[in-house]
Amino acid sequence: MVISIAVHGAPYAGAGSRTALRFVESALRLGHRVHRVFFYHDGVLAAAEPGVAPQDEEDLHAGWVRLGETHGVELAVCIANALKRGMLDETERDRYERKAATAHPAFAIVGLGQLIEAMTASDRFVTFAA
Amino acid sequence: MAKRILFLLNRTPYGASHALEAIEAILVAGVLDQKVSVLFTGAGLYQLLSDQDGGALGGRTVGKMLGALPEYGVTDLFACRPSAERLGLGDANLCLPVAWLDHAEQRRLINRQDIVTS
Repeated sequence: MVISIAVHGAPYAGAGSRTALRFVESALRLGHRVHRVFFYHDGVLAAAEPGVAPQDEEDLHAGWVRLGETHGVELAVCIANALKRGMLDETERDRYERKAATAHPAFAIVGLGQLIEAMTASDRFVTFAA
Repeated sequence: MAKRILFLLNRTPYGASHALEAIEAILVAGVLDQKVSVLFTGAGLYQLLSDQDGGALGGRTVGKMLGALPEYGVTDLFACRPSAERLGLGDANLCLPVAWLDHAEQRRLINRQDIVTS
């Protein structure tokens, strides 16, 4: 089955981001294809490369990066939501002349059309609300 | 292929950025020719109040953004009747026409969808 999900909550602010991560890991283990993870609202903060997780807490950012880099899961971050929350890739850093890119390169900063495309191209679309 | 997508709006218009950002997603779904419905429940009904001014809070006006939905092809707007009764709201308070649904009708609306999101 082809699955896409939306992640609405910031990592650590609630259980949503962690539950979404578990869901995708489980879906892959069960042989499903994950078409896209779309980060929306505060969910875009999962892309924050500068974050440092406490040693005794799970590193959710690293978990998402692992899914992207090792399993080829597309990690899509809504550009409008990302920019106003300080999530910039190198292209946006250059465009807005900021000092640093803050989004890990495993995440792609994309338009909202990709959210709707994820819905239409998947057998199931699951929202992890904040 | 177009899908039947229902957006559930149950948050206040200005308590968080959720309402504005959700409406942006609804507008894009409309532009991309999906079969979009919107259901307002609970405090989400406040998003529909007429006489809003988001400018007073330094932002956009949620009601005005919702007013653009028909232009984007989103005309299936529904609202929870029990929520409205609890909040003391009715057609006269709202900036857009909605179809009022009781809980059983909302269940049927949800069951008709391919995707339900918020």
